[in-house]
Amino acid sequence: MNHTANTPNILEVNHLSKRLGTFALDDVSFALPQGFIMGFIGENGAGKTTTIKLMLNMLAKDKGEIKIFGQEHLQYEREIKERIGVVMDSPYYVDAWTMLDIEHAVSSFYSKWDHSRYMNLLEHFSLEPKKQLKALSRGMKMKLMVAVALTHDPDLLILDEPTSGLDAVARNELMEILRIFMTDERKGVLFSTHITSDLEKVADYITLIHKGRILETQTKDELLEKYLVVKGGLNLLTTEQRQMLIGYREHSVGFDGLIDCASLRHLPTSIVTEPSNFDEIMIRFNMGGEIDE
Amino acid sequence: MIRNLFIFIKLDFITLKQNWKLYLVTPFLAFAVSCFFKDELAAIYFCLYMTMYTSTQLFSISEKNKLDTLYLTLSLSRQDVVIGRYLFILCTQIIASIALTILASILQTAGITAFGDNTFITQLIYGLFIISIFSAIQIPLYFKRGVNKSKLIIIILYMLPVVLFLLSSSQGLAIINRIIDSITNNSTLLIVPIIGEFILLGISCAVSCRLYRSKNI
Ligand SMILES: Nc1ncnc2c1ncn2[C@@H]1O[C@H](COP(=O)(O)OP(=O)(O)OP(=O)(O)O)[C@@H](O)[C@H]1O
Ligand SMILES: [Mg+2]
Repeated sequence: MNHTANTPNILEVNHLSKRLGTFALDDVSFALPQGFIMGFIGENGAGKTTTIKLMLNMLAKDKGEIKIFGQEHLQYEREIKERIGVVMDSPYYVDAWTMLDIEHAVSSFYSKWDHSRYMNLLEHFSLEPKKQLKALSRGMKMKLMVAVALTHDPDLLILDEPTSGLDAVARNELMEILRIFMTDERKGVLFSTHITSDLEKVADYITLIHKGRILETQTKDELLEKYLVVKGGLNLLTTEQRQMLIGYREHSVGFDGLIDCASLRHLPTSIVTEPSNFDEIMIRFNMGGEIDE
Repeated sequence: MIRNLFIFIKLDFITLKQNWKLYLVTPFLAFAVSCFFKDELAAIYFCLYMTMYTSTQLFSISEKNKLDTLYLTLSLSRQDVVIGRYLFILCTQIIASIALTILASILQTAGITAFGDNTFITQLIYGLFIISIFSAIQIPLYFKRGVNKSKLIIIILYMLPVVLFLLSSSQGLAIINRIIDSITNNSTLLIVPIIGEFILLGISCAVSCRLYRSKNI
């Protein structure tokens, strides 16, 4: 995987800010180059859905800039949206609609809507086209939204927790669909999720958001290399060294925590290190500097 | 852009699909009402009331099913959504007018009512004008606050003419009646309510655009 300068960004967010009651999205910036999948992770209420809604003009931004396909997202709203496939965390179709009604309602908005592709996707997900939306389970509704989002052959997929409510089989299927989708290098996917094991399979980039701020945005491998889990005996670290750890925690026989590799050299050489994973990174950042007995 | 407005109007019709039985019986009900009162006017107001009910239903269904989110995933700007919705309302008024014209001619040939053609058209145009006053007020409210939160205001709005009617003295009523008669009898003045309707809905549409632009969805 070789990202960088010469591939254009399919999605670019610069210094985005938005206040919503007591919550504030603060100076959010990240960029997704064409041809890659970005995982967007963070705890409940971190601001993932808010960021996505700002991209889609469901909320008005206070400050900052959003560019999709290199264009300002409001100036070219209609053109941009015709090339985007969206899945939000809850359905937004009329309950009484059948899957065919949904097609009648939205297909004309897309010049590239492909009826046979829609039917194939429904069949692939074992959804009966004549069934009403209200007769579907939560997982089936998510599958339906994924099918609608893919039918017009979008260039960018914006998925807000598309795997919530999906069983392991369906999640695996979705990952497979994304992999096939990404065989075309001009495409891109932004994918917010709690289920980080999905990302380990398909994501190229990870953006980690915490309390409305971006903590990390880089390639999956760089992120996993950057943070290590460290462990050791109780009296191994000085107070100063402890403060370098993210999510420092003491238990009966010792401590553990997360460390930025750059600070590793300040720690004793006898310390035990282990590779981290996304869950670990997310959890540790959420714990902050608190000491937990 | 114009194309997408038409597709949006189609989307509104599909949204109301679940009410098709109601729309099917409406003409028959209107027929029954006008036979009962031996008067086309009853049918006119019944059908025009139905168009108002339709727009309220549309907002209500779209609110319940979070269709605002759907609209903003489609290639529509917020302004398109508002303008499209007003065009849909005009469509329902046109459909109601056509249905009423057919109904009126049936009633007349059957000898049930004895209005002249002229009176029917006049009544219809004034009817459209009156409901456009109501629409012009209620639609921006729906865009800003939604149907649920606007209920109280809408009820007050609908009761207001009735209350005014009850409160006004009989002398005052006679004057109002005379004014209405002189206006409605002069067919050249018909252009006034027609233009009036477009002005009202135009202003209302501009207000709705402003209100909807800043709505959090
Ligand atoms: N309309 C609103 N008014 C006030 N606060 C809001 C509004 N919408 C969201 N918030 C707040 O913004 C914060 C971020 O919400 P958001 O939905 O973006 O989180 P999220 O990262 O998507 O979380 P989850 O993983 O639970 O979906 C939350 O604290 C929420 O309470
Ligand atoms: Mg969310």
